[in-house]
Amino acid sequence: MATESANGVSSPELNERDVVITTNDNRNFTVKIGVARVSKTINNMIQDLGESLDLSSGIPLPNVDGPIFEKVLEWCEEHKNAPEIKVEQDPHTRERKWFTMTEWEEEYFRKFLSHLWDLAMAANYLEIPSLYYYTCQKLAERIKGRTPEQIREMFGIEDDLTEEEKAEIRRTNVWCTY
Amino acid sequence: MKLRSSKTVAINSNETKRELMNNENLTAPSTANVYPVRRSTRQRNVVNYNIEAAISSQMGFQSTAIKGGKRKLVDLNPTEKRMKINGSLPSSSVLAKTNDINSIHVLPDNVMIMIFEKLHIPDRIKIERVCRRWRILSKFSWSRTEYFGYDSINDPSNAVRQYNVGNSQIGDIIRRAGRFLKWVDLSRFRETLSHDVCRYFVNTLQLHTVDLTGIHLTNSALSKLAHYCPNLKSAIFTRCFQNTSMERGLSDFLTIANQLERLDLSENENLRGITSFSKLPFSLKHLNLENCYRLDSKAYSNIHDRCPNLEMLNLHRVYDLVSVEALNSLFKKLINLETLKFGEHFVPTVPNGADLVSLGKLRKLKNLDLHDNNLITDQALIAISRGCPNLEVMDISGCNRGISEDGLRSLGNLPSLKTLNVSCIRNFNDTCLKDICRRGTLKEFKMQRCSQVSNEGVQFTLMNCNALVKLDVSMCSSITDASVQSIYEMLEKRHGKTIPINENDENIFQLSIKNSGITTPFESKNPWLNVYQDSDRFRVPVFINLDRRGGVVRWERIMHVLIHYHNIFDL
Repeated sequence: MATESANGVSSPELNERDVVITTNDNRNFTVKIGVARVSKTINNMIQDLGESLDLSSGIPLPNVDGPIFEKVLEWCEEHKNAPEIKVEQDPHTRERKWFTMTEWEEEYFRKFLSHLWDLAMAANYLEIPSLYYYTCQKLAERIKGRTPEQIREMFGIEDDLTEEEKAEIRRTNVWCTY
Repeated sequence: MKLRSSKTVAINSNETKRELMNNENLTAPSTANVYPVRRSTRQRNVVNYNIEAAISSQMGFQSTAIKGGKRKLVDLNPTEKRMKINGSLPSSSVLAKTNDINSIHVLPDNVMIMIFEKLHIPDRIKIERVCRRWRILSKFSWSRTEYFGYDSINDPSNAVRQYNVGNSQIGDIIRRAGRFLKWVDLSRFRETLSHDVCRYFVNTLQLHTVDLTGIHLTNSALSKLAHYCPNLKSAIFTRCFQNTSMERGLSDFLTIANQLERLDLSENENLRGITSFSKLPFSLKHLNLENCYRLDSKAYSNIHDRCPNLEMLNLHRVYDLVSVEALNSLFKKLINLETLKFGEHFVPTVPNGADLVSLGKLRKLKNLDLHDNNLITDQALIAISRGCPNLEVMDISGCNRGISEDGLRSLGNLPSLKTLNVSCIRNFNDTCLKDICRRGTLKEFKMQRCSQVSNEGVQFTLMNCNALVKLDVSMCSSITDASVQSIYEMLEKRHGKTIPINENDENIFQLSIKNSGITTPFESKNPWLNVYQDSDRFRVPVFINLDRRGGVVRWERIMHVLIHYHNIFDL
């Protein structure tokens, strides 16, 4: 039932214990180990520390800030017992298939739509495959079918292509007229 | 907040590099690898770009440093600098607008590439226009694109958007994904493509399957294709050579593509094969010549001389110029053949004394389709029943001309026959049925329109063939409700009180009864029996080719069909 671990440290009791995680804005989060372990980065830290783990002094996360970690935790709580996510290939096009999301996940992303890339970055750093793949998919979904102008507007990107580059694109890219 | 962002970006860019290098699917991102063909221009561009990027990034940082006051300049470590000069992936710290926390630019490169890989191909090309960083990163999102076909650009969830795909559009995709592509299927773009598309297959060295169905090719296009893709294993040229003689191009192609295992030349009605077939590669295993009815008999002799390893041969509708002697010498040598499709030969007269006895030399044959073949005689059937011990699937439906009871009864000697179709054979009767079911190996049996078979024959079949799960008695007027009763009894014995696991259980007995003597409208009383009122479409060969470019209608052929079916149709 609990998250599997490589060297067998995992036990149901350990998963029920609390650990303190400190984000870069010095906020402390008290989290059940079973939940924190959804993140492979944190799981590795816990395993590396092993017996010497002092649960009260906490684990520092210098690259994640509080508001985002709060959102990530919400995801971990929901996915603590979820099986490892499988990236499937479409049998026909042989590209990665798009995942189908549960209602909860759809709602989650609807709630945090404006923080998608923060979530992707945190998931990338914390190594949470499910969150990582799903946020990437959500971002791809937002890019899909939009014109470059719309994309720039949506993500606040500046058009930094020079006229020369634009001319080259016009020449080599017949898929869209500039 | 600002401090955090710049720190994160710096760390992430280091990680990104490492991850990209470690990623086995993504070749090391050096420009030399990306476009081997246009190396010189690419390198020049990247050098220019790097200088520009370096200048702009420095300016950017200076300005923020002045504005923010607290912001430190991101220091690139020496290895990073070296990589930049060598023209590697631009690091996010250079390109990201670090002063804009809420921009998607904070995402490291590997995450961006991951997102781009998710996109459909048209979107992936379109995003090149968004900004410089995206333009460069999108180049690395093609490494997983091994297949290109209609589905790759037409999203099934977005049916409205249709792209107009011409030669240059395909060229655009191959330029980006070419060196990763393994399968290319252009058959569904045939309306808008021409032979010119072949010149875009420049860097497709890994390509092993290409489907150009319906695209008109020329000799030079075909030679070009072979030169660009020498490692092809499978080539599909259905309806590709319509107007001109393609002997020269096909010869070139077959000479260069000497690893070819599968060649599909079906529906090339003008193909003679006189010179080109003498170049057929030794490695060939599957050859499809369906409807190539102008093939010369010399071409046939080349097939058996050059391709002794052939496992599958499709000769549906190739009847015009082939003599029975030529066919006999062909089959005699193809001893590795496992599948032979040789149907729809509506020859008006069979030369006297000419029997296709060499079919009996195909000892490895497993699957034989001879439907509506007027060349099949009793002698041929007897030869098959003696010489093909591995035969499992056989279709002799509609072979009426030369077949009598003797030939049909000999099929009982086939030791591993599992599927048999004898529809529309007028001479098929209870005696034949009993002989064929003697060994009890049958699993599927079709006998549409065999009006001589009675309930007694069906009962015998059910008693002997314990594995039978599919029976088609459509249009058999002598088979009545008594047969259904015996099926119930048989199923009772076979399964007792058990019920199937699900509705797709392969042991469920399937019975087709359309227009047969079975009259009582009934619903299956046993869960192990499925009754179908609609039989498979009564098979009438469709000859009129409605494709825009292949539009050769052969009236003499339609006449053959009408004459042939005259006795069978209830006209």
